[in-house]
Amino acid sequence: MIDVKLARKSQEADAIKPLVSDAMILSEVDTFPKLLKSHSMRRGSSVAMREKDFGIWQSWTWHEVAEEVTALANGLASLGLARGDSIAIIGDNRPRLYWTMAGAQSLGAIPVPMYQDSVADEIKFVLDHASVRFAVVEDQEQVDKLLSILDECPLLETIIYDQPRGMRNYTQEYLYNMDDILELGRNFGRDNPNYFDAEVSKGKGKDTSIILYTSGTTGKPKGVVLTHEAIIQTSINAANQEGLNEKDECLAYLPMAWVGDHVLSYAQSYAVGFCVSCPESPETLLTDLRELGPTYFFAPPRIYENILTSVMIRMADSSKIKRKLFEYFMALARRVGPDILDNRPVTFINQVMYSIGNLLIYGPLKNTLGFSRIRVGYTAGEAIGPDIFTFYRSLGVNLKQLYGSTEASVFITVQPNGEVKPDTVGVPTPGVEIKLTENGEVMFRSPGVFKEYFKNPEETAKTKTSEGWVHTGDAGIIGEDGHLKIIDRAKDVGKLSDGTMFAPKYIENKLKFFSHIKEAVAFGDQREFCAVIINIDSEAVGNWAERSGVAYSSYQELAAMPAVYDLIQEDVEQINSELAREPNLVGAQIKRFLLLHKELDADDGELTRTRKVRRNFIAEKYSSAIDALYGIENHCQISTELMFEDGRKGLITANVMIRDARLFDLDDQMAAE
Amino acid sequence: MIEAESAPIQGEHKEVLLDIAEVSLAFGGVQALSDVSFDIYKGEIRAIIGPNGAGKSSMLNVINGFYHPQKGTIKYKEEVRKKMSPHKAASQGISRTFQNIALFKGMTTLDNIMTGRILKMRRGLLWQALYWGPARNEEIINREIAEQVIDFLEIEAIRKTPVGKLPYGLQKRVELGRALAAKPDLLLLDEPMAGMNVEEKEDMCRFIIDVNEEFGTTIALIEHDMGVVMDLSDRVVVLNYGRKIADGTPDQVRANQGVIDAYLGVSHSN
Repeated sequence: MIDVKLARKSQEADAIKPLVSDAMILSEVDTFPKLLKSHSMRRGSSVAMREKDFGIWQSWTWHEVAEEVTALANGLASLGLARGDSIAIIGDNRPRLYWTMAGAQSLGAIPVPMYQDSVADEIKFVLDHASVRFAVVEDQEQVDKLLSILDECPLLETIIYDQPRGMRNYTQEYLYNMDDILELGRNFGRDNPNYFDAEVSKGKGKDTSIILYTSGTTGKPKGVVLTHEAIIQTSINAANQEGLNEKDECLAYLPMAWVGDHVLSYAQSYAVGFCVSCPESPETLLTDLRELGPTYFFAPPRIYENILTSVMIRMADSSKIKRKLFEYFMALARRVGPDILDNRPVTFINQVMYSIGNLLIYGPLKNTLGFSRIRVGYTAGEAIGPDIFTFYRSLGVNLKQLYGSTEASVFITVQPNGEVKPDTVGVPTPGVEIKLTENGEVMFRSPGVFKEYFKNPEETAKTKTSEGWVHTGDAGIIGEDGHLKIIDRAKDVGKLSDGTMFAPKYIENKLKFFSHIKEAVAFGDQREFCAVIINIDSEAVGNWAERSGVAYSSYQELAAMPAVYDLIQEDVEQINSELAREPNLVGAQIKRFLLLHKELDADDGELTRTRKVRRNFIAEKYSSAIDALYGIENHCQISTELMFEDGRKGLITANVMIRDARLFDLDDQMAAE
Repeated sequence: MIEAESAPIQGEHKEVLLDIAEVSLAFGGVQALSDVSFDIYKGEIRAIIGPNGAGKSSMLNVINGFYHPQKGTIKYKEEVRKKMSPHKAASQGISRTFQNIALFKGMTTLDNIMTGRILKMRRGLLWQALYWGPARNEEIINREIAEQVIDFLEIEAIRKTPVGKLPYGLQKRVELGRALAAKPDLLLLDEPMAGMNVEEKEDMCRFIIDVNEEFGTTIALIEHDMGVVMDLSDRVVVLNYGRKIADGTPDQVRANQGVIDAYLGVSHSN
């Protein structure tokens, strides 16, 4: 019952009027520094940011944040950062790096956040392309990366680091400790008391607020230029739809260079005024999540999947009584949980049983995971497995799918409360229009549309039409209910040589929903049949090996075991039977597959930084494997070069087995049913 | 950051922290150390190396006050030591880690590190049980120091994990943490890198250098990995069959014929 009430309450909260009206925001407070100033003046004593340090959550009020940002901006100004300059920001989610963003924007400079795990070459490209003069980084690791490419980046003048740890022997005169910059800024502020305010008021909504480089599934990264106006308007629209207010809390743990983090942990926090917390370190994320219990949470499907996997592994190891209880109540939750969450009628008995379950299982479980207080949970970036999605919703976690892009300041479509389905991405958010082109590509137009790709007018012209419509590159279908469904990248949808439609991502995603499979890459365009390269999930398969008493010493050995092949073959054949149920996909069943001897890795260029498969790159790199998949042999020799973090290279060679999977006929399925 | 209780020594001025003169130690008929003399400068990393059974751990145990040499003098902080016990050594600012990890396996990382602070706590059991007034303030101060150590060693994620569940390399790091929590002037490390893989060794090396440079802690270590020893240490003393056979900078030691013979064996043909 408790949960039913909670769900209702959260829907009532949705109707609450937003804190600030759109009109007021855009006429007077049209940039992030102005928003910060307004929070600091109106509600300076509310908590704006938290970070766990030395085991304790430290907090900063809006007033304190404004002071730090002022000092930082003044410090940067006295080092020579000027309007129009770009400033690189590289590191984990640290309050001072977020303040650097606001500080730079106050001066009219443009922050360019970068992925903290980028290798030096990737960083070099962006530094060059965005003409970066200043870099603010987290620690020694990032400083070392920059120093290694300094000779090739003549524009880079100044490097500022947040963590002094390990920096005592660095004597370069262009290296600064952020503490010193803050001190410098405070002195500068005393001498020039009006400078900061004057600079802030020079900023306009139409100014560029940030350049976000997209990791790009093909080619070099593109710098997406977004204005203050676009991001603020989109943030407010989406926040209003979900009824976010200043009492919400979120955890900033996704890369700062990713638009999702930028909009949720920075833009929406500044627009609505809620508190953002930074975890102690990336490794402590789950502990910190549990301690904080955020109300607003965003995670790619992978994270939800990992959490679910760890729950399931722990349950498998627990006592029999606990396991039985868990199984019974989870089955009940799967049946009625989503209906209760969506306020649909449920029988009285089920309601009573669900509240008992809530007391015994769901409540404690949510508490352990840190999901007790979530009002709005988003997932986006990739398709989420229906099992995973339903698991969270049945527990009463309001998890929803969102479809967005960097070019749209995130929000394109969101599933509205009460209309959540596992296989759609929802309806357009307020202010957004969508349409499909003839070949099924999704296009959108919204207040959050990007201004341009930085220094790349051809790509801009290719992506954005003169009427402001933007090509997403995704193929989709709009259902009768108005919900958008994404099938694949538009350019990836192909045909087998007999003309059957072949949507690789669709097959890959179905495969990846099995716990034993971490990644899958499907091939078949212009070929006779569909074949797949599979990466096993070392944790799940390792656990299986442990339970079945199978000994192994490495990933490579595990992936080559016939017993593991049997395990995966079952999964593949189940997919085939599912595909056989859909008349136009029956021909695209998986005929042959192999288990790759190494994990696909972003450092080897096989995945993007957001961990999406780079199909063409893999096709080229593993061409011998693909030839063998379409050959007659049942094994093949693959040798691959791999790169270590420090740039050294190594070579691994493996003899990999190839298996044929059973194919199903459309008729078989019909007969079976 | 943890404040150094002694300042790091720069340049030529070398103050002797520990001076060992003609120390001999025997267990019955077994002569573990015979007439060994060497000194440790304040702020340096001093390695003690030698083949198995050379008397390295015995030497550490003598410094630590666990063994009492039959002959010789030990001068620590300008004072000649008389009767000594490990307890006293610890309160004089000597901490150590062990060859075989000696942690409380059932306790968490944090609790294990807190035990490193016990000698600095003044309040008795009753006060601490009440957790009130001065005992509480004391606990807070000591917890702060423990947290600084946790931050320094980057073990936040295992703060609340029972030590017995941790992999070997991390247990070694926790043990170093416990020794650091006492804010030692002299840190004795008995094979800090034994049984570690390359990555864990690199991490440990970095922590040892950071401890030495950032807090100015003097470190004496025993280690078998020669590459590590030669990279880390300022000076190396070599023992063989309980006797000192060489003493000097890594380069001097590396070139010493006696050391080469002891490690590689001598040809007896001529």
